[in-house]
Amino acid sequence: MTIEEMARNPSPWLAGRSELADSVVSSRVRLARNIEGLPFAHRATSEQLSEALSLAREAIEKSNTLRTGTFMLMSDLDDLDRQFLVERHLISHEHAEKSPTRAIAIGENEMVSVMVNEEDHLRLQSVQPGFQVMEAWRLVDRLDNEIDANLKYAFSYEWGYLSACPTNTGTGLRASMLVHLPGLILTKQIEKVIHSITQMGLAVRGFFGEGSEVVGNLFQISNRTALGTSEIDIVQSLEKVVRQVLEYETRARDILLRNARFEIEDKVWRAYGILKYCRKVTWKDVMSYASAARLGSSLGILKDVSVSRLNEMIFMAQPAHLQKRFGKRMEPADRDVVRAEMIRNMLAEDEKRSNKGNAAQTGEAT
Amino acid sequence: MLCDNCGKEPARVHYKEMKDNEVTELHLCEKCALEKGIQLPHKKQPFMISNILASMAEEVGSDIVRCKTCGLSYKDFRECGRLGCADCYEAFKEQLKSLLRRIHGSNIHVGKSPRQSQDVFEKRRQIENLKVELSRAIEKEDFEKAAEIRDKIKELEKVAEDRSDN
Repeated sequence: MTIEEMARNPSPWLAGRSELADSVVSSRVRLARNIEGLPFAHRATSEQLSEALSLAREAIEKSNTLRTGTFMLMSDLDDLDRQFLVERHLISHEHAEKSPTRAIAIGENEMVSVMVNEEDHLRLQSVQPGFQVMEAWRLVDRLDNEIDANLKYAFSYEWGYLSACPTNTGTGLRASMLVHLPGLILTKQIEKVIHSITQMGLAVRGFFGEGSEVVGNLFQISNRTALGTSEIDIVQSLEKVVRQVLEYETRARDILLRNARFEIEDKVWRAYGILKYCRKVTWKDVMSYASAARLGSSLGILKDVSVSRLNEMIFMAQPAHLQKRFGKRMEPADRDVVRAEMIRNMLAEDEKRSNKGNAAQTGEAT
Repeated sequence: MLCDNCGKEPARVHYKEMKDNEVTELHLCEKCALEKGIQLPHKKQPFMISNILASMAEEVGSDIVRCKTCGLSYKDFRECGRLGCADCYEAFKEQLKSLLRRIHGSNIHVGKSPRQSQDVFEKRRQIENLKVELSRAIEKEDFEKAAEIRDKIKELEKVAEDRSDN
């Protein structure tokens, strides 16, 4: 699999169906692991980093899960390719550095991946669509066991898996869900909810306040601690909190529909209209309109476009994605034009499909 | 909106602070936010443990402790927030015990363990549990039971050590 091939389509896992996908874009679990006997990446010499890379690569390529995957060195990729991987949520900003000892291993469907020589020697990750953080844990746990068979991890009986940053030491686990909470934003309850999530020991990332709409009302909720709790317990407590948050979100949407139906419908249709007819649009604007359209789609106001299609749109409309897809580097202004065209086409296709569906249905009825 | 702090740059970071159950809202420009140590999601983040490290009283004497394996001093760690190698955890054990407790609310790992360590890890966990039982027995002055538990612990410790030597 090359970057060019990947760029033709959104991440395959995005198309997956799952529980609560209306409000949860994705679930993710990552494990921080280091190799015994080598200094952590930030303090290692380039020889030591090369050694870590080859040990990690060998273990990764022997694993069942990643045997058929793709292994890429950051130094073999240009800046646009690396930016693409960041947008794809496969590597971090910090990892997107042109280095011969940093690498990424990507499994089938991009559901499982490993960053090599990021802050820790290995960062194992699994992503799933929707509310499936337990499934993500199951996959990454299996990969971890497979790599463990061919690599000796730095581990202490007292403190668990040893990490460069003490915040990750213990299980090395971070579980997170990307949730869409427009109802809580519109009813101005988001701050209260975020406050209570924080009090329950979880972290919320993503901006709110003045510019909240520009990030598409998407929030990442994750655990903050990694030591003293088992992996399953961490995952379950995240599930519990997110379920609670989603209940608040549903209630907020009910209130909106009851008290401000026309305002909501207007907001949704305007956003959809812009996406459908725009001739140039920035990615941030896409995020904001797609958020409103997403709300409309999940409330049944918009029938022509699905939530999962809108998820694909916000990924595909990102700058490096566009440039890789169209096979050329473009200035921001040119990207805005190409982006608008791509989005119009995506929505036109959906409308055609949905009309066909309706025709078939009416056909059956008569 | 202009920055609440400098009043010159546009406010880009909107931030709430909880203190004694009172919420203060701050609107800051990126520069002032950075100066206050507030994390910006798109910038390389000043890690959250740096705040904890800064809030811990300077431990006189601790700062000069060095890890023999990688040469990192505790002072280096306090400044960069990253440990140098696995052996740093041993070198700064005492300091890290309280730091880990402050970060995680615990300093005992209870999750999974590498395959090669599983046996030993399980034994250690049993030993920890027995030790609690032992002190309970002693409290109750049930010395017969205490002796029994002590023997069990000794046996387990022997097995655990043999295994971890291999």
